[in-house]
Amino acid sequence: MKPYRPHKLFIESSVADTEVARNVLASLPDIPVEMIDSADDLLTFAKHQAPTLSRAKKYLLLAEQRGKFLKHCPGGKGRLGIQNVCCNYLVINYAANCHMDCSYCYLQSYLNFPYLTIYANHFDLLSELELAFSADRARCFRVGTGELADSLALDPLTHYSVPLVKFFASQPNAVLELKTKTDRVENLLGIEHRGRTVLAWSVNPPSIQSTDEHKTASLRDRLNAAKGCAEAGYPVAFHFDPIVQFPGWETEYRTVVRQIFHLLPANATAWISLGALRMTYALKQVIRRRFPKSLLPFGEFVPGEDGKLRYFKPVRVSIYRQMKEWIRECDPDVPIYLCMEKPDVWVKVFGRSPADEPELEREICRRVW
Amino acid sequence: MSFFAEGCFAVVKGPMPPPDFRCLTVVCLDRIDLNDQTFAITPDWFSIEALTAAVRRVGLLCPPRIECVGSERYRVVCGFRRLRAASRLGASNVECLVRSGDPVQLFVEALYDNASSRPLHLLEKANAVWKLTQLFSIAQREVIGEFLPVLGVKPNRFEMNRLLNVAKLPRVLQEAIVLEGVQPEIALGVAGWNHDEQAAYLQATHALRPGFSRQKELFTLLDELRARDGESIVRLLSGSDTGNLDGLLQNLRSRRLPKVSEYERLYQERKARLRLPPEIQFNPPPFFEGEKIQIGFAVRSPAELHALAGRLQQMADRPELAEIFGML
Repeated sequence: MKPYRPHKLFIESSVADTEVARNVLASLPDIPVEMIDSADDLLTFAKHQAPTLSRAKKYLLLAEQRGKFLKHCPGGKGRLGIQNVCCNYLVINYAANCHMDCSYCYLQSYLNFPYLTIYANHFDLLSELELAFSADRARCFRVGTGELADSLALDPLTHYSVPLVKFFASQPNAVLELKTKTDRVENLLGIEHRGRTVLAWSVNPPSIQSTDEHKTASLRDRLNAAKGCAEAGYPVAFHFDPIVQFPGWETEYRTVVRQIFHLLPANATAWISLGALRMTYALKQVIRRRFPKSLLPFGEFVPGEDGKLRYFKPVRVSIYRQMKEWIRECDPDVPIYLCMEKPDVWVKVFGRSPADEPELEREICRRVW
Repeated sequence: MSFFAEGCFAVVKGPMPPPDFRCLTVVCLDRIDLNDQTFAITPDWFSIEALTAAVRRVGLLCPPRIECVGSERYRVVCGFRRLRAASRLGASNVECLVRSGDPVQLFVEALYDNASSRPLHLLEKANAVWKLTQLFSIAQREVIGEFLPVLGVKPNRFEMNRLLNVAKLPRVLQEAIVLEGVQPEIALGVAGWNHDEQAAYLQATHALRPGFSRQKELFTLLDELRARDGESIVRLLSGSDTGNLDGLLQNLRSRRLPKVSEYERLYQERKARLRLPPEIQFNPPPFFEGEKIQIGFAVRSPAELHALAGRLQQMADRPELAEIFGML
């Protein structure tokens, strides 16, 4: 995949002297740089320049995270207070937005600040994590950085993953998940991780990757990167999310499942998640406007209880059951979970729904702890 | 050199001196070019029937404003509809206020006058924003900050772009908004179709007169089938019974959502086999997204409740009910 090169770099003065900022500046020596007092300056700029989503991705902002880095994943408690089955996942908001351009990306209608942002005060992040993990040693935390950004897309510039992986290697009760659609794992291969970092890939068949996952690494490159990480001792994980239903989807997804287990050593896969394509009405409009050739908005969607559009429930259940069956053919034991689904769907797919969040968390993590 | 030919970046200057209403000029109507629409925001095809009737009865209560553009030649600044009404009534002379000054300031004066004296139609607001930005080259930032609030519109870029898009709609769609009750958002969507498709859609809505929510449903189904299957709107509408909106929507829905439609058909079939008495309401969750069926009833006496309880008990034992629950 093509390396990211922003047109311009904005740096908040409070993070100008951080390791992340120094790494980015060293990686982009010929990119114009503007020092700013606050990201708020860019909000004014954004109002006047009317940046489109595409244009805004070409500006990289290094900012200070002034709020909390660590938050609970919002997926469990869906929109309108609808309770999905929750896996107790925590997210680290170390960055916001992504230079890749997946047509279905929810960030397009979720973020209210258009510029690609990296929160460069990673020392504050590590302190916050230390405090959170030490406050509850009885709990095993599962934490990921791939909620508002790809975990590794900008890693060649920031090297953000290095201190994070080293930090988690020293934690007795936490595991980090780096979730990506890239193959940029070069910073990770030589460092001490002690199995506390899981490298995870969102995967889709090549036909979807080529039409709807713009600027991402090909499936082959992602799987090769996964193989390299598994060989370096990292647990790896895969997210079939979003699963797209299209004519012939069964053959293509089954092939991807087989490729994964053919390429990777037995038991290397820590977990697999499944999530069928879903979107808000607002996102559907954005997709149609920004990606007029995409067929994704024309699936057989109905509004769920949370107002989000999803494939009709019998269709979703059928998709999940088949995916589960194909995965089980390759690995009868690998933990599989559904993302953002209600208990009734779990029951139809797995025969039961997890009793509570810790139970599901333990089940997902059983190959890692 | 004319102001417009220069294509200059206009900045709205301070207000002009207010008009002196004691200095009215009697102007021969023939001397006023009613076709010069430079300062107009109201489409010239808007009805002036009511206004004409009012002018016939009480005359022009408020003098139109005109600008001198040559030797005893004038163009209208504000009062296009009043002057057209007067012309239609055969007036030869009209008392006017003659204004002069920067065209931008004249337009702004007319805009404030219109906006403060009556509620403006969406198309008038759209034309105002189009003229401010495109004809008078006023910066978008200034239009958003100063003029959108005057028009009663939220001052943001989204609203301004929406109005600019409305202003650019072809006349047939603008007329459909005003005369046929087509929702502006739907007209904006229909504008993306070709001319024949627009005509077919307008013909169908003229015949079917859908309300707002069904207009939206009809447009969405047509637009998505067009995008998904590459089928033209003309073709999608051609086989339909244009006297039956429900039938048309059902037909389109079953093409757009075949599995959902089939499931709904199956559900209705099973529900019919339950032979529910009319006093029992039986409602599955919308689109079967949920686990529970709501069953409701109303009774007038304990005896009715006893009787109904027996019917409910019978219903609970029927295999069709189990099948319906199995669909959730």
